[in-house]
Amino acid sequence: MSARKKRAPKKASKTEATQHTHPAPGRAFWSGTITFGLVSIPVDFYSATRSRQGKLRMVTADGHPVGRRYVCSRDGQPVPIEEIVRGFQVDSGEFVVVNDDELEAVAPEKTRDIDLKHFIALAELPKALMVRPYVLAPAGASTKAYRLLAETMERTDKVGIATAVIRDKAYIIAILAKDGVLLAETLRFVDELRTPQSIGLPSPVSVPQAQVKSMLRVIDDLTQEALDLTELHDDYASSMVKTVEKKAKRGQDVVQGVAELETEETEFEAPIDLVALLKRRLEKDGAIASPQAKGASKKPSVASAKRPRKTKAAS
Amino acid sequence: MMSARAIYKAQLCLDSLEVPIKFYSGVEDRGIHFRLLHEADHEPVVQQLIDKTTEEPVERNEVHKAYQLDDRRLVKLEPAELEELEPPGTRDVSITRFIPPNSMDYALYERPYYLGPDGDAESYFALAHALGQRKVEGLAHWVMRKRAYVGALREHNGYLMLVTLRHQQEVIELASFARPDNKELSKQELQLAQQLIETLEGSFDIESFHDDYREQVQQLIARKAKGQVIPLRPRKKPAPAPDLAEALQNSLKSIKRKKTA
Repeated sequence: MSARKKRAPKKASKTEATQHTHPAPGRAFWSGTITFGLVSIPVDFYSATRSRQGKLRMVTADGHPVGRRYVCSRDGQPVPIEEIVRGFQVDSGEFVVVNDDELEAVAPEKTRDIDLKHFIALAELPKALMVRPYVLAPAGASTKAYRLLAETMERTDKVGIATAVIRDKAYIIAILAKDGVLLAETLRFVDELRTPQSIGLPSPVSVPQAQVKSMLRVIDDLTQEALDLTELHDDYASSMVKTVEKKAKRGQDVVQGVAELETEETEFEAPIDLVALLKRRLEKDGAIASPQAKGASKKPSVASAKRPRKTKAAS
Repeated sequence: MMSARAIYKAQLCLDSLEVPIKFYSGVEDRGIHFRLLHEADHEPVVQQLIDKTTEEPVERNEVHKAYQLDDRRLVKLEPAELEELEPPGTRDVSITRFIPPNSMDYALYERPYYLGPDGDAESYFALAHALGQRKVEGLAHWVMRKRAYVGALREHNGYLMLVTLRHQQEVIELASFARPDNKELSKQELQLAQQLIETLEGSFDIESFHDDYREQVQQLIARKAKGQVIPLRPRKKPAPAPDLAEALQNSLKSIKRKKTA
Protein backbone atom coordinates (compact mmCIF):
# COMPACT_ATOMS: atom_id res chain seq x y z
CA MET A 1 0.00 0.00 0.00
CA SER A 2 1.29 3.42 -0.80
CA ALA A 3 1.22 6.25 1.67
CA ARG A 4 -0.48 8.39 -0.87
CA LYS A 5 -4.00 7.17 -1.00
CA LYS A 6 -5.35 6.70 -4.45
CA ARG A 7 -8.03 9.30 -4.98
CA ALA A 8 -11.54 8.19 -5.52
CA PRO A 9 -12.91 9.11 -8.90
CA LYS A 10 -14.39 12.53 -8.95
CA LYS A 11 -17.91 12.45 -7.65
CA ALA A 12 -20.58 13.68 -9.95
CA SER A 13 -21.09 16.70 -7.77
CA LYS A 14 -22.60 19.73 -9.38
CA THR A 15 -23.07 21.87 -6.34
CA GLU A 16 -19.43 22.95 -6.11
CA ALA A 17 -19.30 24.40 -9.57
CA THR A 18 -22.65 26.14 -9.51
CA GLN A 19 -22.34 27.78 -6.13
CA HIS A 20 -18.87 29.11 -6.72
CA THR A 21 -19.34 32.69 -7.81
CA HIS A 22 -15.74 33.91 -7.84
CA PRO A 23 -13.93 32.47 -10.81
CA ALA A 24 -10.20 32.50 -10.24
CA PRO A 25 -7.09 31.08 -11.84
CA GLY A 26 -7.36 27.47 -10.79
CA ARG A 27 -10.60 26.31 -9.30
CA ALA A 28 -11.46 26.77 -5.65
CA PHE A 29 -11.63 23.38 -4.03
CA TRP A 30 -14.59 24.39 -1.93
CA SER A 31 -16.42 27.52 -0.78
CA GLY A 32 -17.93 28.10 2.61
CA THR A 33 -18.58 30.66 5.30
CA ILE A 34 -16.66 31.00 8.52
CA THR A 35 -18.93 32.18 11.29
CA PHE A 36 -17.26 33.80 14.23
CA GLY A 37 -19.93 34.75 16.71
CA LEU A 38 -22.42 36.68 14.60
CA VAL A 39 -19.79 37.64 12.04
CA SER A 40 -19.86 35.83 8.69
CA ILE A 41 -16.76 35.51 6.55
CA PRO A 42 -17.25 33.88 3.13
CA VAL A 43 -14.09 32.13 1.95
CA ASP A 44 -12.83 30.02 -0.95
CA PHE A 45 -10.64 27.02 -0.16
CA TYR A 46 -7.55 26.52 -2.31
CA SER A 47 -5.28 23.53 -1.92
CA ALA A 48 -1.98 24.39 -0.24
CA THR A 49 -0.25 21.38 -1.75
CA ARG A 50 1.03 20.68 -5.20
CA SER A 51 2.01 17.37 -6.69
CA ARG A 52 5.56 16.10 -6.48
CA GLN A 53 7.98 17.47 -8.98
CA GLY A 54 8.71 13.95 -10.13
CA LYS A 55 5.09 13.46 -11.13
CA LEU A 56 4.88 11.84 -14.52
CA ARG A 57 2.26 12.40 -17.16
CA MET A 58 0.67 9.76 -19.33
CA VAL A 59 1.21 10.14 -23.08
CA THR A 60 0.84 7.99 -26.19
CA ALA A 61 3.84 6.95 -28.28
CA ASP A 62 3.24 10.09 -30.39
CA GLY A 63 3.26 12.26 -27.31
CA HIS A 64 -0.49 12.87 -27.31
CA PRO A 65 -1.84 13.39 -23.80
CA VAL A 66 -3.74 10.45 -22.33
CA GLY A 67 -6.89 11.28 -20.41
CA ARG A 68 -9.70 9.39 -18.74
CA ARG A 69 -13.35 9.20 -19.50
CA TYR A 70 -16.22 7.19 -18.12
CA VAL A 71 -17.85 4.52 -20.21
CA CYS A 72 -20.89 2.45 -19.40
CA SER A 73 -19.88 -1.03 -18.21
CA ARG A 74 -22.73 -2.57 -20.18
CA ASP A 75 -22.15 -1.23 -23.68
CA GLY A 76 -18.79 0.54 -23.41
CA GLN A 77 -20.29 3.81 -24.65
CA PRO A 78 -18.83 7.06 -23.26
CA VAL A 79 -21.00 8.63 -20.54
CA PRO A 80 -20.82 12.41 -20.09
CA ILE A 81 -20.32 13.57 -16.50
CA GLU A 82 -23.83 15.12 -16.38
CA GLU A 83 -25.33 11.65 -16.86
CA ILE A 84 -23.48 10.10 -13.94
CA VAL A 85 -25.18 9.54 -10.60
CA ARG A 86 -24.07 8.08 -7.27
CA GLY A 87 -25.33 4.68 -6.25
CA PHE A 88 -24.89 2.68 -3.09
CA GLN A 89 -25.02 -1.07 -3.52
CA VAL A 90 -27.30 -2.61 -0.91
CA ASP A 91 -27.26 -6.26 0.20
CA SER A 92 -29.70 -7.32 -2.53
CA GLY A 93 -27.11 -6.18 -5.10
CA GLU A 94 -29.32 -3.33 -6.26
CA PHE A 95 -28.09 0.25 -6.34
CA VAL A 96 -29.80 2.95 -4.31
CA VAL A 97 -29.30 6.22 -6.17
CA VAL A 98 -28.64 9.28 -4.05
CA ASN A 99 -28.48 12.77 -5.54
CA ASP A 100 -26.80 15.99 -4.38
CA ASP A 101 -30.03 17.58 -3.13
CA GLU A 102 -30.82 14.56 -0.96
CA LEU A 103 -27.33 14.56 0.51
CA GLU A 104 -27.64 18.24 1.24
CA ALA A 105 -31.00 17.63 2.90
CA VAL A 106 -29.48 15.27 5.49
CA ALA A 107 -26.33 17.33 6.03
CA PRO A 108 -26.08 19.40 9.21
CA GLU A 109 -28.30 22.49 9.02
CA LYS A 110 -25.52 24.82 7.89
CA THR A 111 -23.38 22.59 5.69
CA ARG A 112 -21.31 25.41 4.33
CA ASP A 113 -20.80 27.12 7.64
CA ILE A 114 -17.59 26.68 9.56
CA ASP A 115 -18.85 27.73 12.94
CA LEU A 116 -15.86 28.63 15.11
CA LYS A 117 -16.99 27.83 18.63
CA HIS A 118 -13.70 26.45 19.94
CA PHE A 119 -10.26 27.99 19.97
CA ILE A 120 -7.07 26.18 20.96
CA ALA A 121 -3.31 26.62 20.73
CA LEU A 122 -1.71 25.51 17.46
CA ALA A 123 0.49 22.98 19.30
CA GLU A 124 -2.63 21.11 20.45
CA LEU A 125 -3.64 20.12 16.92
CA PRO A 126 -3.22 16.32 16.71
CA LYS A 127 -0.72 15.50 13.95
CA ALA A 128 -2.03 11.96 13.54
CA LEU A 129 -5.42 13.27 12.39
CA MET A 130 -4.24 15.75 9.77
CA VAL A 131 -5.43 15.31 6.23
CA ARG A 132 -4.76 18.27 3.97
CA PRO A 133 -3.82 21.97 4.16
CA TYR A 134 -5.67 24.80 2.42
CA VAL A 135 -5.25 28.52 1.85
CA LEU A 136 -8.44 30.55 2.30
CA ALA A 137 -9.16 33.53 0.09
CA PRO A 138 -11.82 36.05 1.11
CA ALA A 139 -14.87 35.69 -1.14
CA GLY A 140 -17.23 38.36 0.17
CA ALA A 141 -17.67 41.98 -0.86
CA SER A 142 -15.75 43.23 2.17
CA THR A 143 -12.53 41.71 3.48
CA LYS A 144 -12.56 43.53 6.80
CA ALA A 145 -13.95 40.67 8.90
CA TYR A 146 -11.50 38.27 7.22
CA ARG A 147 -8.58 40.50 8.11
CA LEU A 148 -9.85 41.10 11.64
CA LEU A 149 -10.10 37.37 12.35
CA ALA A 150 -6.68 36.63 10.77
CA GLU A 151 -5.02 39.47 12.65
CA THR A 152 -6.55 38.50 15.99
CA MET A 153 -5.92 34.76 15.67
CA GLU A 154 -2.33 35.40 14.71
CA ARG A 155 -1.76 37.83 17.55
CA THR A 156 -3.26 35.49 20.14
CA ASP A 157 -1.62 32.45 18.49
CA LYS A 158 -4.92 30.58 18.39
CA VAL A 159 -6.55 28.08 16.06
CA GLY A 160 -10.31 27.83 15.56
CA ILE A 161 -11.93 24.39 15.40
CA ALA A 162 -15.21 23.41 13.74
CA THR A 163 -16.77 20.69 11.63
CA ALA A 164 -18.03 20.99 8.08
CA VAL A 165 -19.08 18.80 5.18
CA ILE A 166 -16.69 19.23 2.27
CA ARG A 167 -17.48 17.41 -0.94
CA ASP A 168 -19.70 14.76 0.59
CA LYS A 169 -17.53 14.05 3.60
CA ALA A 170 -17.57 15.60 7.05
CA TYR A 171 -14.29 16.79 8.54
CA ILE A 172 -13.02 18.50 11.61
CA ILE A 173 -11.57 21.76 10.29
CA ALA A 174 -8.89 23.83 11.95
CA ILE A 175 -8.75 27.49 10.88
CA LEU A 176 -5.33 29.09 11.34
CA ALA A 177 -3.78 32.45 10.53
CA LYS A 178 -0.31 33.26 9.22
CA ASP A 179 1.01 36.48 7.69
CA GLY A 180 -2.47 37.97 7.62
CA VAL A 181 -3.88 35.05 5.63
CA LEU A 182 -6.40 32.50 6.88
CA LEU A 183 -5.40 28.87 6.38
CA ALA A 184 -7.21 25.63 7.07
CA GLU A 185 -6.30 22.02 7.80
CA THR A 186 -8.82 19.21 7.51
CA LEU A 187 -8.64 16.61 10.28
CA ARG A 188 -10.00 13.08 10.58
CA PHE A 189 -12.54 12.17 13.21
CA VAL A 190 -11.12 10.15 16.08
CA ASP A 191 -12.86 6.97 14.94
CA GLU A 192 -11.04 7.20 11.60
CA LEU A 193 -7.73 6.68 13.39
CA ARG A 194 -7.04 3.09 14.35
CA THR A 195 -5.89 2.29 17.84
CA PRO A 196 -3.16 -0.14 18.92
CA GLN A 197 -6.01 -2.28 20.26
CA SER A 198 -8.05 -2.28 17.03
CA ILE A 199 -4.93 -3.24 15.08
CA GLY A 200 -4.19 -5.94 17.60
CA LEU A 201 -0.74 -4.73 18.66
CA PRO A 202 0.67 -6.63 21.66
CA SER A 203 0.23 -5.11 25.10
CA PRO A 204 3.25 -3.16 26.37
CA VAL A 205 5.83 -5.34 28.11
CA SER A 206 7.80 -4.17 31.11
CA VAL A 207 11.23 -3.00 30.08
CA PRO A 208 14.40 -2.97 32.21
CA GLN A 209 15.19 0.60 33.27
CA ALA A 210 18.70 0.22 31.85
CA GLN A 211 17.27 -0.36 28.36
CA VAL A 212 15.09 2.76 28.55
CA LYS A 213 18.16 4.69 29.72
CA SER A 214 20.23 3.55 26.79
CA MET A 215 17.38 4.57 24.44
CA LEU A 216 17.27 7.98 26.13
CA ARG A 217 21.01 8.31 25.56
CA VAL A 218 20.66 7.53 21.86
CA ILE A 219 17.77 9.99 21.54
CA ASP A 220 19.72 12.72 23.34
CA ASP A 221 22.75 12.13 21.13
CA LEU A 222 20.63 12.52 18.03
CA THR A 223 18.55 15.46 19.28
CA GLN A 224 19.00 18.78 17.54
CA GLU A 225 17.40 22.18 17.91
CA ALA A 226 15.73 22.23 14.54
CA LEU A 227 14.99 20.46 11.32
CA ASP A 228 17.48 20.60 8.49
CA LEU A 229 15.28 21.38 5.51
CA THR A 230 17.45 19.33 3.18
CA GLU A 231 15.87 16.34 4.94
CA LEU A 232 12.59 17.22 3.27
CA HIS A 233 14.17 17.47 -0.14
CA ASP A 234 12.73 15.20 -2.79
CA ASP A 235 15.85 13.40 -4.06
CA TYR A 236 13.83 11.19 -6.39
CA ALA A 237 12.45 14.25 -8.15
CA SER A 238 15.91 15.81 -8.41
CA SER A 239 17.46 12.76 -10.03
CA MET A 240 14.54 12.50 -12.38
CA VAL A 241 15.00 16.12 -13.45
CA LYS A 242 18.70 15.41 -14.07
CA THR A 243 17.92 12.38 -16.24
CA VAL A 244 15.26 14.27 -18.13
CA GLU A 245 17.42 17.33 -18.74
CA LYS A 246 20.20 15.13 -20.11
CA LYS A 247 17.76 13.52 -22.50
CA ALA A 248 16.31 16.87 -23.52
CA LYS A 249 19.80 18.16 -24.34
CA ARG A 250 20.39 15.19 -26.60
CA GLY A 251 16.95 15.68 -28.09
CA GLN A 252 16.11 12.09 -27.15
CA ASP A 253 12.44 11.12 -26.68
CA VAL A 254 11.35 14.75 -26.71
CA VAL A 255 7.82 15.50 -27.90
CA GLN A 256 6.05 18.83 -28.13
CA GLY A 257 3.77 19.26 -25.14
CA VAL A 258 0.21 20.51 -25.09
CA ALA A 259 -1.33 23.05 -22.77
CA GLU A 260 -3.60 20.79 -20.76
CA LEU A 261 -2.10 17.75 -19.14
CA GLU A 262 -4.04 16.00 -16.45
CA THR A 263 -2.73 14.05 -13.57
CA GLU A 264 -4.87 12.05 -11.26
CA GLU A 265 -4.64 14.74 -8.63
CA THR A 266 -5.12 17.82 -10.76
CA GLU A 267 -8.13 18.95 -8.81
CA PHE A 268 -6.23 18.80 -5.55
CA GLU A 269 -3.45 21.06 -6.75
CA ALA A 270 -2.94 24.68 -5.96
CA PRO A 271 -4.00 27.27 -8.52
CA ILE A 272 -1.36 28.79 -10.74
CA ASP A 273 -0.62 31.82 -8.61
CA LEU A 274 -2.13 31.80 -5.16
CA VAL A 275 -0.23 34.88 -4.01
CA ALA A 276 -1.60 36.99 -6.86
CA LEU A 277 -5.08 35.70 -6.14
CA LEU A 278 -4.90 36.60 -2.45
CA LYS A 279 -3.50 40.02 -3.30
CA ARG A 280 -6.29 40.73 -5.74
CA ARG A 281 -8.96 39.65 -3.28
CA LEU A 282 -7.53 41.66 -0.43
CA GLU A 283 -6.74 44.68 -2.57
CA LYS A 284 -10.42 45.44 -3.02
CA ASP A 285 -10.37 47.25 0.30
CA GLY A 286 -7.01 48.84 -0.40
CA ALA A 287 -5.68 46.63 2.36
CA ILE A 288 -2.42 45.61 0.74
CA ALA A 289 0.56 47.83 1.40
CA SER A 290 2.50 49.04 -1.62
CA PRO A 291 5.33 46.72 -2.66
CA GLN A 292 7.93 49.43 -1.99
CA ALA A 293 6.84 49.90 1.57
CA LYS A 294 6.88 46.19 2.33
CA GLY A 295 9.91 45.39 0.21
CA ALA A 296 8.00 42.60 -1.42
CA SER A 297 10.16 40.33 -3.51
CA LYS A 298 10.00 40.31 -7.29
CA LYS A 299 10.52 36.57 -7.34
CA PRO A 300 7.91 34.51 -9.10
CA SER A 301 5.17 33.38 -6.79
CA VAL A 302 5.88 30.22 -4.88
CA ALA A 303 2.85 28.58 -6.34
CA SER A 304 4.29 28.76 -9.81
CA ALA A 305 7.93 28.15 -8.90
CA LYS A 306 9.08 24.69 -9.90
CA ARG A 307 12.13 24.29 -7.73
CA PRO A 308 12.00 23.65 -4.03
CA ARG A 309 12.58 26.81 -2.08
CA LYS A 310 14.50 27.24 1.05
CA THR A 311 11.83 28.65 3.26
CA LYS A 312 11.24 28.40 6.93
CA ALA A 313 9.23 25.34 7.82
CA ALA A 314 8.58 26.22 11.42
CA SER A 315 5.24 27.83 11.99
CA MET B 1 -12.76 -5.30 16.18
CA MET B 2 -10.74 -7.33 13.74
CA SER B 3 -6.99 -7.01 13.94
CA ALA B 4 -5.20 -5.48 10.99
CA ARG B 5 -2.48 -6.98 8.86
CA ALA B 6 1.02 -5.58 8.75
CA ILE B 7 1.83 -3.98 5.41
CA TYR B 8 5.62 -3.87 5.69
CA LYS B 9 8.43 -5.27 7.82
CA ALA B 10 11.50 -3.17 8.54
CA GLN B 11 13.92 -2.10 11.23
CA LEU B 12 14.31 1.26 12.91
CA CYS B 13 17.98 2.29 12.88
CA LEU B 14 19.13 4.79 15.48
CA ASP B 15 22.90 5.12 15.36
CA SER B 16 24.01 1.56 16.00
CA LEU B 17 20.72 0.46 17.58
CA GLU B 18 18.21 -1.58 15.62
CA VAL B 19 14.56 -2.09 16.51
CA PRO B 20 12.63 -4.59 14.33
CA ILE B 21 9.16 -3.28 13.48
CA LYS B 22 6.06 -3.88 11.37
CA PHE B 23 4.05 -1.14 9.63
CA TYR B 24 0.27 -0.90 9.97
CA SER B 25 -1.96 1.67 8.31
CA GLY B 26 -3.15 4.14 10.94
CA VAL B 27 -6.29 5.14 9.06
CA GLU B 28 -9.59 3.33 9.36
CA ASP B 29 -11.62 3.89 6.23
CA ARG B 30 -15.17 4.64 7.39
CA GLY B 31 -16.24 6.43 4.24
CA ILE B 32 -19.48 5.50 2.51
CA HIS B 33 -18.45 4.27 -0.89
CA PHE B 34 -20.73 5.09 -3.75
CA ARG B 35 -20.37 3.62 -7.19
CA LEU B 36 -20.73 5.93 -10.15
CA LEU B 37 -23.65 4.87 -12.34
CA HIS B 38 -25.02 5.80 -15.73
CA GLU B 39 -28.23 7.66 -14.93
CA ALA B 40 -30.14 6.14 -17.86
CA ASP B 41 -29.79 2.46 -16.92
CA HIS B 42 -28.14 2.49 -13.48
CA GLU B 43 -25.24 0.45 -14.82
CA PRO B 44 -21.88 1.21 -13.20
CA VAL B 45 -19.52 3.33 -15.28
CA VAL B 46 -15.83 2.47 -15.57
CA GLN B 47 -12.86 4.62 -16.44
CA GLN B 48 -11.25 4.27 -19.83
CA LEU B 49 -7.95 5.72 -21.00
CA ILE B 50 -8.15 7.76 -24.18
CA ASP B 51 -5.85 9.67 -26.47
CA LYS B 52 -7.12 13.19 -25.78
CA THR B 53 -6.13 14.36 -29.25
CA THR B 54 -7.92 11.67 -31.25
CA GLU B 55 -10.41 10.58 -28.53
CA GLU B 56 -9.52 6.96 -29.36
CA PRO B 57 -9.24 4.45 -26.50
CA VAL B 58 -5.68 3.62 -25.43
CA GLU B 59 -4.61 0.32 -23.86
CA ARG B 60 -2.73 0.57 -20.59
CA ASN B 61 0.36 -1.12 -22.03
CA GLU B 62 0.48 1.52 -24.79
CA VAL B 63 0.79 4.34 -22.29
CA HIS B 64 4.18 6.00 -21.94
CA LYS B 65 5.34 7.98 -18.98
CA ALA B 66 6.68 11.45 -19.67
CA TYR B 67 8.10 14.32 -17.70
CA GLN B 68 7.00 17.82 -18.60
CA LEU B 69 9.72 20.45 -18.77
CA ASP B 70 9.08 24.06 -17.80
CA ASP B 71 8.76 24.98 -21.47
CA ARG B 72 5.96 22.38 -21.75
CA ARG B 73 8.02 20.00 -23.88
CA LEU B 74 7.64 16.38 -22.83
CA VAL B 75 10.49 13.92 -22.36
CA LYS B 76 9.44 10.29 -22.46
CA LEU B 77 11.01 7.91 -19.97
CA GLU B 78 11.46 4.22 -20.73
CA PRO B 79 10.66 1.61 -18.05
CA ALA B 80 14.39 0.82 -17.70
CA GLU B 81 15.17 4.49 -17.06
CA LEU B 82 12.44 4.70 -14.44
CA GLU B 83 13.76 1.59 -12.77
CA GLU B 84 17.19 3.18 -12.55
CA LEU B 85 15.66 6.16 -10.71
CA GLU B 86 14.05 3.98 -8.07
CA PRO B 87 15.55 4.30 -4.61
CA PRO B 88 17.76 1.38 -3.55
CA GLY B 89 15.86 -1.41 -1.83
CA THR B 90 16.45 -1.47 1.91
CA ARG B 91 14.45 -2.36 5.01
CA ASP B 92 16.16 0.26 7.15
CA VAL B 93 14.10 3.09 8.60
CA SER B 94 16.92 5.51 9.40
CA ILE B 95 16.37 8.01 12.16
CA THR B 96 18.63 10.93 11.33
CA ARG B 97 17.76 13.27 14.19
CA PHE B 98 15.26 14.08 16.90
CA ILE B 99 13.71 17.55 17.08
CA PRO B 100 11.47 19.32 19.59
CA PRO B 101 7.71 18.87 19.04
CA ASN B 102 5.96 21.45 16.86
CA SER B 103 9.16 22.53 15.16
CA MET B 104 7.79 21.54 11.77
CA ASP B 105 5.08 23.20 9.70
CA TYR B 106 1.78 21.40 10.41
CA ALA B 107 1.06 21.32 6.66
CA LEU B 108 3.86 18.80 6.13
CA TYR B 109 2.12 15.98 8.03
CA GLU B 110 0.41 13.60 5.66
CA ARG B 111 -0.64 10.13 6.84
CA PRO B 112 -0.21 8.10 10.03
CA TYR B 113 1.17 4.57 10.32
CA TYR B 114 1.38 2.57 13.50
CA LEU B 115 4.56 0.64 14.09
CA GLY B 116 4.33 -2.62 16.01
CA PRO B 117 7.13 -4.74 17.45
CA ASP B 118 8.48 -7.52 15.24
CA GLY B 119 9.89 -9.99 17.73
CA ASP B 120 12.01 -7.88 20.04
CA ALA B 121 9.20 -6.28 22.07
CA GLU B 122 11.54 -4.99 24.79
CA SER B 123 13.56 -2.68 22.56
CA TYR B 124 10.33 -1.51 20.87
CA PHE B 125 8.64 -0.51 24.12
CA ALA B 126 11.90 0.88 25.53
CA LEU B 127 12.05 3.24 22.55
CA ALA B 128 8.36 4.15 22.83
CA HIS B 129 8.84 4.84 26.52
CA ALA B 130 11.97 6.95 25.98
CA LEU B 131 10.31 8.94 23.16
CA GLY B 132 7.32 9.65 25.39
CA GLN B 133 9.61 10.86 28.14
CA ARG B 134 11.61 13.22 25.92
CA LYS B 135 8.56 14.34 23.89
CA VAL B 136 10.64 14.71 20.74
CA GLU B 137 9.97 13.67 17.16
CA GLY B 138 12.38 11.58 15.10
CA LEU B 139 13.06 12.31 11.44
CA ALA B 140 12.80 9.01 9.59
CA HIS B 141 13.84 8.06 6.06
CA TRP B 142 12.84 4.79 4.48
CA VAL B 143 11.91 3.07 1.25
CA MET B 144 8.62 1.23 0.98
CA ARG B 145 7.22 -0.28 -2.22
CA LYS B 146 9.98 1.31 -4.33
CA ARG B 147 9.28 4.78 -3.01
CA ALA B 148 11.38 6.91 -0.68
CA TYR B 149 9.55 8.37 2.31
CA VAL B 150 10.34 10.87 5.00
CA GLY B 151 8.32 10.81 8.20
CA ALA B 152 8.02 11.87 11.81
CA LEU B 153 8.49 9.15 14.43
CA ARG B 154 6.34 9.87 17.50
CA GLU B 155 5.11 8.19 20.62
CA HIS B 156 1.33 7.72 20.55
CA ASN B 157 -0.49 6.24 23.56
CA GLY B 158 2.52 4.13 24.52
CA TYR B 159 3.18 2.90 20.97
CA LEU B 160 5.30 4.09 18.06
CA MET B 161 3.68 6.03 15.24
CA LEU B 162 5.23 7.18 11.99
CA VAL B 163 3.45 10.05 10.21
CA THR B 164 4.62 10.48 6.61
CA LEU B 165 5.68 14.02 5.71
CA ARG B 166 5.23 15.87 2.45
CA HIS B 167 8.38 17.00 0.73
CA GLN B 168 9.10 20.69 1.12
CA GLN B 169 8.34 21.32 -2.53
CA GLU B 170 4.84 19.85 -2.17
CA VAL B 171 3.68 22.46 0.33
CA ILE B 172 2.82 25.98 -0.84
CA GLU B 173 4.61 28.72 1.05
CA LEU B 174 3.12 32.18 0.89
CA ALA B 175 6.56 33.68 1.44
CA SER B 176 6.22 36.36 -1.23
CA PHE B 177 2.84 37.51 0.06
CA ALA B 178 2.91 41.01 1.56
CA ARG B 179 0.66 40.85 4.58
CA PRO B 180 -2.40 43.11 4.47
CA ASP B 181 -2.08 46.54 6.00
CA ASN B 182 -4.72 46.37 8.70
CA LYS B 183 -4.30 49.91 9.98
CA GLU B 184 -7.95 50.77 9.54
CA LEU B 185 -9.10 47.98 11.88
CA SER B 186 -10.20 49.90 14.94
CA LYS B 187 -8.92 49.26 18.43
CA GLN B 188 -12.43 48.45 19.52
CA GLU B 189 -12.88 45.83 16.78
CA LEU B 190 -9.56 44.19 17.60
CA GLN B 191 -10.34 44.14 21.31
CA LEU B 192 -13.79 42.68 20.82
CA ALA B 193 -12.47 39.99 18.47
CA GLN B 194 -9.79 39.05 20.95
CA GLN B 195 -12.31 38.93 23.79
CA LEU B 196 -14.55 36.69 21.74
CA ILE B 197 -11.69 34.26 21.03
CA GLU B 198 -10.69 34.24 24.68
CA THR B 199 -14.28 33.50 25.70
CA LEU B 200 -14.43 30.58 23.28
CA GLU B 201 -10.99 29.25 24.14
CA GLY B 202 -10.79 25.90 25.82
CA SER B 203 -8.81 22.74 25.75
CA PHE B 204 -9.52 20.71 22.67
CA ASP B 205 -11.62 17.64 23.26
CA ILE B 206 -11.42 16.00 19.89
CA GLU B 207 -13.48 13.05 21.14
CA SER B 208 -16.46 15.37 21.34
CA PHE B 209 -16.57 15.73 17.54
CA HIS B 210 -18.64 13.06 15.85
CA ASP B 211 -19.26 12.44 12.21
CA ASP B 212 -23.05 12.82 12.34
CA TYR B 213 -23.15 13.34 8.60
CA ARG B 214 -21.87 9.81 7.90
CA GLU B 215 -24.68 8.37 10.03
CA GLN B 216 -27.23 10.60 8.32
CA VAL B 217 -26.10 9.42 4.87
CA GLN B 218 -26.35 5.78 5.99
CA GLN B 219 -29.89 6.40 7.17
CA LEU B 220 -30.69 8.21 3.94
CA ILE B 221 -29.59 5.16 1.94
CA ALA B 222 -31.66 2.86 4.15
CA ARG B 223 -34.74 5.07 3.74
CA LYS B 224 -34.34 5.26 -0.01
CA ALA B 225 -33.83 1.49 -0.23
CA LYS B 226 -37.28 1.18 1.36
CA GLY B 227 -38.67 3.47 -1.30
CA GLN B 228 -39.15 6.50 0.90
CA VAL B 229 -39.09 9.98 -0.58
CA ILE B 230 -36.55 12.33 0.98
CA PRO B 231 -37.97 15.80 1.71
CA LEU B 232 -35.60 18.44 0.37
CA ARG B 233 -34.59 21.52 2.24
CA PRO B 234 -35.16 24.97 0.74
CA ARG B 235 -31.95 26.87 0.06
CA LYS B 236 -31.44 29.79 2.43
CA LYS B 237 -30.29 33.21 1.35
CA PRO B 238 -27.33 34.58 3.34
CA ALA B 239 -28.23 37.36 5.78
CA PRO B 240 -26.78 40.82 5.10
CA ALA B 241 -23.56 41.56 6.98
CA PRO B 242 -24.15 43.77 10.03
CA ASP B 243 -21.70 46.31 11.37
CA LEU B 244 -18.57 44.45 12.48
CA ALA B 245 -18.15 45.90 15.96
CA GLU B 246 -21.87 45.60 16.65
CA ALA B 247 -21.88 41.95 15.56
CA LEU B 248 -18.93 41.17 17.81
CA GLN B 249 -20.53 42.92 20.77
CA ASN B 250 -23.78 41.03 20.26
CA SER B 251 -21.84 37.76 19.98
CA LEU B 252 -20.15 38.38 23.32
CA LYS B 253 -23.45 39.33 24.95
CA SER B 254 -25.21 36.19 23.74
CA ILE B 255 -22.36 33.94 24.94
CA LYS B 256 -22.39 35.60 28.37
CA ARG B 257 -26.14 35.20 28.56
CA LYS B 258 -25.76 31.48 27.82
CA LYS B 259 -23.05 31.14 30.45
CA THR B 260 -25.04 32.82 33.19
CA ALA B 261 -28.29 31.12 32.25
